Amino acid sequence: MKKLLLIAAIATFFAGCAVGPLPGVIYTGADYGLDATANTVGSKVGTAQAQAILGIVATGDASINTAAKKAGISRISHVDYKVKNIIGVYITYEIYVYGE
Amino acid sequence: MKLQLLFFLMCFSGMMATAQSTDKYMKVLYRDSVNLYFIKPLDFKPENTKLQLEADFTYNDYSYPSALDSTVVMNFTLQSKSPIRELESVHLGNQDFSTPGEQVELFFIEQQKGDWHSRFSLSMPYGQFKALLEQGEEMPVVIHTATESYRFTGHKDWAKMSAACLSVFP
Repeated sequence: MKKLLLIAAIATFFAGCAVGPLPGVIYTGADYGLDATANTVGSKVGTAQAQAILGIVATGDASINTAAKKAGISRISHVDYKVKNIIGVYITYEIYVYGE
Repeated sequence: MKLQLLFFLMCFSGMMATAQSTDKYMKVLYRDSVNLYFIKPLDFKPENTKLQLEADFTYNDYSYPSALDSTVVMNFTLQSKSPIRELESVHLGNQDFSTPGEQVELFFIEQQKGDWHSRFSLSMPYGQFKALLEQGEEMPVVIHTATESYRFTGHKDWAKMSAACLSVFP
């Protein structure tokens, strides 16, 4: 049990910078707003994702450019993102770009 | 200590159960009297090919409550060993809903870690999409190029996503 808690504590420590403005030590699953422009809200949505394991290995491409490109968006209206964090062991970062 | 561990697991499983909602499969946005439903990317199971297919869907419910006039955009990525620039047609579902290649737009092709990613887009009437949702996990997708035909099926995630969507869509 002590080893489990130690692993969780270390993972949480290392993952702390990636859990968004409302970090949950055991579990985080929350949506946040990242940015908005003066463009009207469009009818297209694109998403991109990156993930990290144990706060040690991180892969993926959660850039606004990639998310916009995947939906054929050239005028961005706003950008949201979602963070999921399970005890710092597995973290996903999803970005959602809206526009036309 | 065992009781503490049991309590921890119960709390954690409770949170995970809460997360199994429509939010897992879609994002909903209300804008100017239009509901925008974005169905998150899903992987399809390859049947006769080593290609990978991932697709997401965007449904703009322009005419609620007569939503059958609305359209759904399917954006999909084919991951392959050689670049795919052009499609002959895309068949969705068992009712032979077919989209000819000239109505399938190519967004981009790029190479990542040795694989080619070809990103395409097509649109379909909402009524057709709703029929696809009602087909369960065996929902077939057949993509024809000039030389090959690639067959995929919907996987369990398709059935779960469909159930979530049908509980929300008009």
